[in-house]
Amino acid sequence: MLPPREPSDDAALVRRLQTGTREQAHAAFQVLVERYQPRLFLHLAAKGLTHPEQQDVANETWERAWRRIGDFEYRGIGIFAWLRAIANHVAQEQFKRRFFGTALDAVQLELADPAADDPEASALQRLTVQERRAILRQVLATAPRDYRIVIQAYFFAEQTTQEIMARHGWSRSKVYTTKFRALAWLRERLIASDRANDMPTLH
Amino acid sequence: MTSENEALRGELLSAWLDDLRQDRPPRDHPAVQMLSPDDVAEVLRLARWHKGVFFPSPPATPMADELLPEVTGMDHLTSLVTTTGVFMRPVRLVRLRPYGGSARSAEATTQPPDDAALYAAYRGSVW
Repeated sequence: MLPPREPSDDAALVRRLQTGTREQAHAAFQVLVERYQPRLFLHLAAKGLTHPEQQDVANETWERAWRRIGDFEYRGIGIFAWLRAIANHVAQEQFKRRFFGTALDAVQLELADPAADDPEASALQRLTVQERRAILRQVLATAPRDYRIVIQAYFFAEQTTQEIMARHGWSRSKVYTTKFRALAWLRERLIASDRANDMPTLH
Repeated sequence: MTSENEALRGELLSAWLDDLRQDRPPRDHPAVQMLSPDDVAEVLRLARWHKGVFFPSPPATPMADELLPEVTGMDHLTSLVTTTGVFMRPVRLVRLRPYGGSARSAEATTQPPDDAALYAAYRGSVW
């Protein structure tokens, strides 16, 4: 006998999860995991989570999704948006728990990621790492001199703080301050270019 | 914002960027206790953005990990294939294994149906 057909769309899958027997719900949940697990990992990787962090957050996300699926209202928006919201929340919670303890859970830290409000990866994220580095070189041409020094040192020369201090005669404090400002500037510059759709072209 | 505060944020950023580039979760650092939660969150957001854009970890895909040996094995077999017959022989061996015997004996004893047998089968069918 053939196994029962799995629902082909999210709405049917959610219906089976919410109203099916326990066995049907388990089977439907397995389909859900198989369908969205790779995409969830891609999302977490794009957020800058390390490999072990991706595993932790994904496990917790699926556990919460299983417990809360009864509350989910299907309104024509893919269930992945719901899963992604849970994953973002889990990532924030894990960070707060680790560095601040549970007492600060009420603190609303917005650990947004570049794709948090964008269902699809931004144009920047769709590029290959090599293409992003090529764009980085172009953007560098417009950077203030000090910023250019630390960005080049970080991305291309892979110099340590001590090496930058020795090479340019800077204090440790100046290296750290400039690094923070330069990388924040770089992020803003690239995001602004991305949003304006005027990403520097690749030669 | 004081310059001392900025230097602390830069120090924390350096430490966390190093961790993330090495695919390690951000470490505990004394600067975390000296900065406000918002400052720490801003540093982490910046570190993760650069990690995600320039040094992303490969997505953790358990299914892909499980499939990898199978795919690699298939690639290996495909690389050895010279004819369809060579390719099909391992498949026949696998199919025959549950019934015992060998591919050689099966090939020697199983004869293809002749035309008369095929016609008889055709006449006896529901068609």
